[in-house]
Amino acid sequence: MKNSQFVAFIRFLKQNKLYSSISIIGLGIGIASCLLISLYINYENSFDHYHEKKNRIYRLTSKLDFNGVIDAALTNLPTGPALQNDYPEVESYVRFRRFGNEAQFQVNQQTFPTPNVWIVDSTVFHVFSYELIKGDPKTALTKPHTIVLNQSTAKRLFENGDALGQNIQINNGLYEITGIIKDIPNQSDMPVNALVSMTSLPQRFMVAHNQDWFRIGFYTFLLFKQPVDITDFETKLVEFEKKYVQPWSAENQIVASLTYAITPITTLHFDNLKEYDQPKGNKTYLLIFSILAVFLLLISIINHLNLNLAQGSKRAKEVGVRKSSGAQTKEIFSQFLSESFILSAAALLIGVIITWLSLPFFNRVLQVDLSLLNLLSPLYLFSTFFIFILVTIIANSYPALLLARLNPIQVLKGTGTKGLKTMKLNHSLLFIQFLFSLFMITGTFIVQKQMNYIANYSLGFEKDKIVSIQIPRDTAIRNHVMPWLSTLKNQENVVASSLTRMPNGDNTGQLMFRVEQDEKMLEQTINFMFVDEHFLNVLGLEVIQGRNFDPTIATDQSQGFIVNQKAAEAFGWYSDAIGKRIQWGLLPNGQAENDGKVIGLVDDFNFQSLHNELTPLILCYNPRGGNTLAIRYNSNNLSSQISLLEDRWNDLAGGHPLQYEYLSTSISNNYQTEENMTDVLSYFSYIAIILALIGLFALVTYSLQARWKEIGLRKILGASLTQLAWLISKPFAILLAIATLISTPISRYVLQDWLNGFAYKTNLGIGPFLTSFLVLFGLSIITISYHVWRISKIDPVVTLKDE
Amino acid sequence: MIKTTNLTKVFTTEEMETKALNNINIQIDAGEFVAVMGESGCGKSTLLNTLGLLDTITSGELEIAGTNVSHYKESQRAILRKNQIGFIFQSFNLIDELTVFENIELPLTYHKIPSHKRKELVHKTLEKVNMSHRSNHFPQQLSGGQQQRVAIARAIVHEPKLLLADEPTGNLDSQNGTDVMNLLTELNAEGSTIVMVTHSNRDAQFAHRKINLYDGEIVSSSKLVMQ
Repeated sequence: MKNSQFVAFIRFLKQNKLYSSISIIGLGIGIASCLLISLYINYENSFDHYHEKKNRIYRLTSKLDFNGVIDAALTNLPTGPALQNDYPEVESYVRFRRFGNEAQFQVNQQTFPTPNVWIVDSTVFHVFSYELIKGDPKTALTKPHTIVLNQSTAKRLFENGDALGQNIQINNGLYEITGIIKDIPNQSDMPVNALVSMTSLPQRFMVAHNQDWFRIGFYTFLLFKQPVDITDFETKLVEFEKKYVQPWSAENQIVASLTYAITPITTLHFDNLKEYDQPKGNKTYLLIFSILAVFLLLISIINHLNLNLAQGSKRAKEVGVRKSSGAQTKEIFSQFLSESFILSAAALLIGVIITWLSLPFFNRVLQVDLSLLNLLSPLYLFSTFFIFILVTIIANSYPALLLARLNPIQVLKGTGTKGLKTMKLNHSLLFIQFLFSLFMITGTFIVQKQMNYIANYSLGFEKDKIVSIQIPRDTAIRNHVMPWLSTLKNQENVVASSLTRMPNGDNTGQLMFRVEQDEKMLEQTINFMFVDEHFLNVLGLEVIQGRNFDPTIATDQSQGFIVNQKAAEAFGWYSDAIGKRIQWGLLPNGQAENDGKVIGLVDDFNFQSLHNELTPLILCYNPRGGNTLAIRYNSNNLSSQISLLEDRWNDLAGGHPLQYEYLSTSISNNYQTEENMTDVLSYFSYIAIILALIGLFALVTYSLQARWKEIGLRKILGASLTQLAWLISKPFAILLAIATLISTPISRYVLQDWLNGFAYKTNLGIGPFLTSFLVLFGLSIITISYHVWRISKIDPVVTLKDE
Repeated sequence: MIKTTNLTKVFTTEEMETKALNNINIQIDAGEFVAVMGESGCGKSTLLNTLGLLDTITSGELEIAGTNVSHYKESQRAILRKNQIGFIFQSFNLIDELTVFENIELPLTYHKIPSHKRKELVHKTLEKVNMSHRSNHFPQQLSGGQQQRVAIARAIVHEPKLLLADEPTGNLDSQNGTDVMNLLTELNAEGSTIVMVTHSNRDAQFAHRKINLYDGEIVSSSKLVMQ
């Protein structure tokens, strides 16, 4: 690029500040969106990729058909070792079992609630890349009552972090710390704070599990000597099942089957259809994000191209002069292409800055920890460079070529920008932008509408003003706390309290029941909850037939059941549910450990998240209750109630912090993914709208350039400003109307499909579609009004003289 | 300097063919100053553009400085333009973003001339057109006459043998017009061959010869009395 060319270019940019900055920033926004999304996709795709042997590690899962199919992420205890024994290609295995939801670590009389504690085989250090910074990987977890902590937990428990050899008390058991591992990366579906040796499990537990092929409770990972063909190995797993599981079922007279499957650990993050699994990523959302990234980048490139074209015609004269001064077409072409490189470089820089500025926000919304440092990886540098080249070539070589090819005679006479007229192409590009923006806006509206619908949906019980408290398993503390807790219900502001977990979406289990139907006893898997007699009261549920559980009636405990209306309907009991027979803890001979009758019928309530249809539910009586106390207050000021509770608790609980949670919060956590999605969607739809408006702005500028003289002439002939405004707006209004007509059915289809993922859904209506149109229409008018203002300033004599 | 043989230029559009130039035969010697006259649309500008190799010819032959350039490719024509030809336009066509100095320097940038040499040439030319005091101004800051003088400076800075002027005084008042014509006469006296399209009989009086075009054909070619 020659000096004079560079100077002319910079002065040109300065003189056209508005266009230059819109063009550069617009492209920058597109690049930033693309960078952000690809950082996120990259993040999601690298879950559990930190294991050195990741290509040889597979997770074993089991699908149980036991009068109802459970496709579980878990397996039984004996399969892992048996596989290693029978199949030489299996080098090793490791099994994980959760140490409760949260373990209470006690050190020096202080209690530290610690989540993500796992009971594991000692082979864990061979299979997984957990880096031991202290301790011996071969022996660290071989002995009973040994534990390995990660660095942060060690630091949290011991001031100097020097934990090796120290002891921790967990639920009355004493564990020796035999190793410290580095904190594992956040991109793991199995976060780890501590690992407890498998040999710590009681002998009778191991025996019971080892003798039962249908008792699932372990995540099992297999390490193969070589990467395996999944189908091949799964065929072997069928033989395995025939060899071990079927004889056992026959022997125990169980009609059931078990199907094993393996999944590579590298793709595990998106395998989110299994029950009892860890929270996972969602491939659909990643796909949506990828499409978004491509579209936003494309749209910003299109805008950049349009603005370049619009601006290019202003520089036609320069091309003419240069050509008549002897410049060759290729010299002009390379001049404009060099300019584009400068523009793209500026846009890239701005894109990186925008990315950097918005990362903290993006991280907060999506609850991830993306870093711009990831951009420094070779893959990133390469792809960024690739985008840069692509943008420059696509967005700029076309206008550069058009400009370079201009006929100098025509441009010097002021008539020759005709070569730059590509209005039809440009219109279809704007049309696509409108379409995309409409998709984004309606999508955001509908997703938000559904979220509101769920937030306001009546679950059939009162979810507000209920607080759940974790009661420590420490018996000494329980002895202190429980008597006090039982007095709670007499306190002011307390409506009721129950030693039962509340229906927050994942507190129900499934069990095989035998239920009386048409005078026969039929087996099936049904949702159930263990509750005490206060459960219904806390939730404000009504017994509509029969009665509640009664602690004074001894038989209620194993022989009394309360069912919901859905159950009564499903089993064909209609109006006479009371007295129908229910069994659980089934024995092969038709007998059962628990055999009783329905004593009450309760109104339906949504005990699962609203993704799920209401299903039959059986409430079983457990008067002793569990480790959770739920309290319903009648005060609106829950936080003051909590602080009252906390004061008393601290006196009694001897170092155990008060752990509580609002029921409404834990219910809304069920929709966290959708909430995050809503946020991200709405921000990207703002970006899509901004980009579409930039596109509109560019296109109007461009079309006006070609019609300048026409407008001057119309003014002379007496056209009013309104008429002229309509003249320039009409093509775009029509375009928007057509885009709306086309986008509506498509987005209706897509959004309906998304809504079908919810059992309880809002209806689409026409409101969101109409609003989207109006929003875009209104913003378009504002955008065009700048040009109308320009038109109002036109001196028609000048435009005509310009020939 | 220039010789055309049956030079013909046809503009073809979807609906019609227009013969802009029809069998033009002219010879212009080195050092001549020729005025091309005629009514609007008679083909004057087209003739000038084909002579300046900005436009291709449909048939016939065109020789410039003894070389037949009728079948030159665009790249060859660009080279010939930058070495041999200077253009002066009615509407000056200065680049708004460049200063007077930079505008004049422009043709030199397409030659491989070192920067200090360019500077020297530009200053020399600025003096010639009497615009040295305005070298750092932008075109918008100049009067029409001054702009045309800058445009002429740009046309001659690389010392072309042939100057093509398309109504150089068309946008100027009579005083400025006369100044420009005097400048062109001086340049001609120094050896430049000039072909000038004009409407003005007064301007044409500055030339050695007048060629009259009518509907794309030469209707008369007359020697003028030297002034």
